[in-house]
Amino acid sequence: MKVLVPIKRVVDYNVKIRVKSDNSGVELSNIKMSMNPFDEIAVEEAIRLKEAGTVSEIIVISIGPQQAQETIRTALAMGADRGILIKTDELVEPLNVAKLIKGVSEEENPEIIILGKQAIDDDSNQTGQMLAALLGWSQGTFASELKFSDGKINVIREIDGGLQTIDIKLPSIITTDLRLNEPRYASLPNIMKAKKKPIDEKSPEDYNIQISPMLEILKVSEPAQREAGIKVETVEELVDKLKNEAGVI
Amino acid sequence: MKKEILNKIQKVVGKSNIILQEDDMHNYLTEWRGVYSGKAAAVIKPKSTNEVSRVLKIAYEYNIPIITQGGNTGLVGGQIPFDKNHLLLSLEKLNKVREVNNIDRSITAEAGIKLSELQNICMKNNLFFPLSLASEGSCTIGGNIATNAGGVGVLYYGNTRELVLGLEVVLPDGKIINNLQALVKDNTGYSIKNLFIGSEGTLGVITAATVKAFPQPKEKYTAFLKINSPNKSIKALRIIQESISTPLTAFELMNNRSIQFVIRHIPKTFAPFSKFKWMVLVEFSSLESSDLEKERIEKTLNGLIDLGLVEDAVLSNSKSQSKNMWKLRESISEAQKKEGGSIKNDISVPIKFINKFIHDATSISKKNIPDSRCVIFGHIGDGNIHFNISQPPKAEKQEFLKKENHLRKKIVELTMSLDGSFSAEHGIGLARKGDLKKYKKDKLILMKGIKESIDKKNIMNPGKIFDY
Repeated sequence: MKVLVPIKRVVDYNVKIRVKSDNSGVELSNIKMSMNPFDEIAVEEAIRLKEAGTVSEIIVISIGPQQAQETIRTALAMGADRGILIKTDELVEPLNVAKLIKGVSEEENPEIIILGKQAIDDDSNQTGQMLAALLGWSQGTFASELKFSDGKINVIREIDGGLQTIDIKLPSIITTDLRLNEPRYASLPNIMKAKKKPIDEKSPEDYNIQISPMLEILKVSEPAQREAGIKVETVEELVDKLKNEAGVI
Repeated sequence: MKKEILNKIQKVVGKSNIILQEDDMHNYLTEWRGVYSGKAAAVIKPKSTNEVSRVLKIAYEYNIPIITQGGNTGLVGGQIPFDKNHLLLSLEKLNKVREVNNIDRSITAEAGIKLSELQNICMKNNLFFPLSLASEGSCTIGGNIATNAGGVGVLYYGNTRELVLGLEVVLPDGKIINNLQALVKDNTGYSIKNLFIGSEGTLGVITAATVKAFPQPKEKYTAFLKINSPNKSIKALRIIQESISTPLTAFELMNNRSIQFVIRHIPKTFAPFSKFKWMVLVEFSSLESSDLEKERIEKTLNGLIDLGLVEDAVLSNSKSQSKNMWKLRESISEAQKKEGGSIKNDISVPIKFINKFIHDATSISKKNIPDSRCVIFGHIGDGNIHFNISQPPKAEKQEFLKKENHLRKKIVELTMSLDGSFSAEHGIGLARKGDLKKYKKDKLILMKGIKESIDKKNIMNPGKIFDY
């Protein structure tokens, strides 16, 4: 069974991002970029499935600029088998990404596609679900545990205030939640081996997709600064301030 | 203590900055591990150098000892007063940044500012302050200077001493000496600044400092190396230093036991290797982010595997992974605390003797307490090893700690026989006074002469470093 893992190159989770002075977006020059953390969990899960003998080949795809190749190399160093880079310098949106992954899927014929539930840059949380609809596959989103048995996956999903367990039939889309696993470090011998693993370079046109954004970003702004708190002397003063200054009671 | 003295001091700092109730002093009088617990007449929290000077003048007039405290994170008891007639001078409110200077690449801050805050302010100004230690969220720059703190950045950036450009100090009689200029070259007689660095509050009060800042590294490469022996780690260190020009900013050795403890007690930690005897945390800090550099590092580290010095290695691929790696290293002390009593040795030896020291010290521990567990970690590149002995799993803590003096004596004897130091980065305080007297007689006499000429009334942290 083949598994496809789409991964995105995003601003590193631990970088404190700054908004560009013209409010057109986030400052990206000279900023540390890494694999989207949810995608890292997807790669780890695929590798664990391969180690358990459930999966025979792991193909990672990234859609983005040339440097996204580095992100693919990281996944290859963790243990993926080969990579596909669909090169574009445009801003990618979930529907276009889902269409491109569908294109790859039709060539590669995987039985599972594991994606991060969302990318931490735009927080869309749409690609997996759109892809399931486009392919007509079952979907287990926000997965925190997977169990495989003939032709079925038992998925524990993280939902508001609890867990939901479902059975879905292959072929399936899985989107990962944080608790699914703890991604491994890439070992140095594997980093060296990964340099020799193949990465195919493609373009959106190869799949007859035009990457034209459907959304227009009007403005990006930083969250409002929180004002410093104050200490009140008495309960009366607190009530007075809540009533007359904050207007909440 | 006479009421009138406390009243005079209260007039200087204000009612809200003096603590007279014993119950409210607890956090200041007890050291975080609970090893030292003291007493004092009052805790005083001045907000300016001028207030420190006026408080010291009063204390000088009435011959009242002053114990200066920063973040209360010291490990040798230097920051704790032990007498109802002594005053604890907490500098936590003397914590302003006076100047950030991108041209001199320096920052002038008051003594009570927390180290982590100083690091953050530098970062916001596109600068980097390299002093970094496990207690950085609580400790203060004044305390770091008074104890010449070491930490994890020493290998490349040096001790606190190397980072201080100038100091402002208040002498025991209240006189303010301002020497804050950011001068790299200043050969104008004795280096008073260096006298106060590491003086542990026994000469006066450090109220402000000008410290060196560095360009902010843009990229960090963090790795764990799996290694069979400390000896091999040193060989690996030398090869790395000879082949990679990217600054090597950390090289931290840890034995299996220390990581075992961390994984057992600290949530969300996991070992990077399934089996290992020793592990080294390696970090390079670079001003640029380039594929070429990354490849050179990967190639060199991989070469160490080919040479048989390193068994296996992992490299972080995001800041989160680097953070997780550091978490393993920085949680060792906290994890060890949860394993019962421990006997701590902060020693350094010439690097060529590290292997011998670790071997012999382990034998000493096993011989004296067969089931004791050695937690060994440290800044191996500076020859500084934390050799901490944890009690056997089922032993009584108090029973185990009875052997502390004997065991420590043996380990210090071993350290000194290898030309080492019995206190590499924690200082003398109360805990190492005996060793100082035993092994550094001549130095102690010279130090006493200096102490007596500056602190004539012996009111600056009396009983620390020196016996009286």
